[in-house]
Amino acid sequence: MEGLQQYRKLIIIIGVVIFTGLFTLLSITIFYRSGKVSVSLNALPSDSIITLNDVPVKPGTTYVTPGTYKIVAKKNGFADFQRTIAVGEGNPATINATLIPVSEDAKKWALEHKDEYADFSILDKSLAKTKDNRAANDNPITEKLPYKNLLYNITYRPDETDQSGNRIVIEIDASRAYRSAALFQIRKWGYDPTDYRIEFRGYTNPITS
Amino acid sequence: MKKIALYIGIITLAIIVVIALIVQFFSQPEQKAQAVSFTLAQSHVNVSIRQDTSEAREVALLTESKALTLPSGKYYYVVTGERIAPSTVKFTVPNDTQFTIDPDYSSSYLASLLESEVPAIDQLLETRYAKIANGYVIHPGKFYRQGQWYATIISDRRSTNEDPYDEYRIVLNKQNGNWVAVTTPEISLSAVTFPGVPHEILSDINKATIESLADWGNQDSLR
Repeated sequence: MEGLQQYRKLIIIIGVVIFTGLFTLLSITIFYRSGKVSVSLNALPSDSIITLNDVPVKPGTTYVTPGTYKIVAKKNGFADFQRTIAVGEGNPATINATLIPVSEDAKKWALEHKDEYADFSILDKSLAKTKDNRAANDNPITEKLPYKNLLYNITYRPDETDQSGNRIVIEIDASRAYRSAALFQIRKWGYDPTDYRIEFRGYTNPITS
Repeated sequence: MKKIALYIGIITLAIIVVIALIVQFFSQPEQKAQAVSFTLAQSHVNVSIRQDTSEAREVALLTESKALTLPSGKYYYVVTGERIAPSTVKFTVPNDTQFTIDPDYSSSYLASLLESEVPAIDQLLETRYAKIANGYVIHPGKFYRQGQWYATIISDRRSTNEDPYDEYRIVLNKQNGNWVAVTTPEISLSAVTFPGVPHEILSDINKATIESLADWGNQDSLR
């Protein structure tokens, strides 16, 4: 007990030093993250190159200021994953980028890692369930839909071919002369029709049919 | 007395440790020099690496792939070459350490490929889709990247300003020296349906009109 008394001051000093160090690091971290929102980015394959507004980032959590961000995940042999997200205060985002294999080697790799693909898909689905407005967040165009005027009608429905449940299909009901006008309207809203599966009601492709 | 000296020593050491921690935290991005590799995927390309300062001092001029040891800081490189339009890319050391430089060809060079490549492409499309030969016009399209991607618009011969018909977009890719249609002809090409085609190509051809494609192909003033 006497021995402990002898080192009491030393123990206090060491404690104060450790506390000061931790407090300083904590303060710096809080300062660095102040006003920022967390974006959790993961990709499959895990060694894919992920960029946030063309700036390479590591998989995991990144802190960004609120705004719109373009996320791209790339890997040789796989189709690029691209998504634009709106990050707002109190609205952290989680993106699980599943890259679709294109080359033979990539397809082989995907087959060998099908369990990981299944896990990733389950993870993505559970995230979708935890956020009812996820589809709307992922497809801000839905705020404009349905849209109807005298010439055409634009609506949407969930994309039944998408396992993650995040994608939508844009449906356009227009006569031949006004299909391009409906596409122009989508551009006018600031969205790129390329990002969606678009179906035209009562239309058959005359070249491929 | 000895105790006081001991305490002072410990406190001094502790302060040094805390300061070192803070300095280390803030100085992480500006650590030592870093090896940065530049892989030139094309020959006849020059890469000038410069410091991103007001002086823009040239650090190196590369004509072949090379790894350089660069001190931490901001840089940019300028790629120039016969077939390409000059382009600039900013980077930071030590954050960015690997670059594969494979620039796209310039629009004027790509446009010069039309004459030699388009007849084979049109023939392929007419063979692949028999209906095109009878009722449609394949317009001169647009090459992308290093000329291995081509996209064009197919229009209906019956189309007039008063009675417009749908226009169809299609993308082709040159594989092992042969052109292959990698999409079907569609009014709007979807990146979801055709994930193997670069998004920017799909987006660009979806935006294009017959007139804008004709303007792109007529770039004599740029050459």
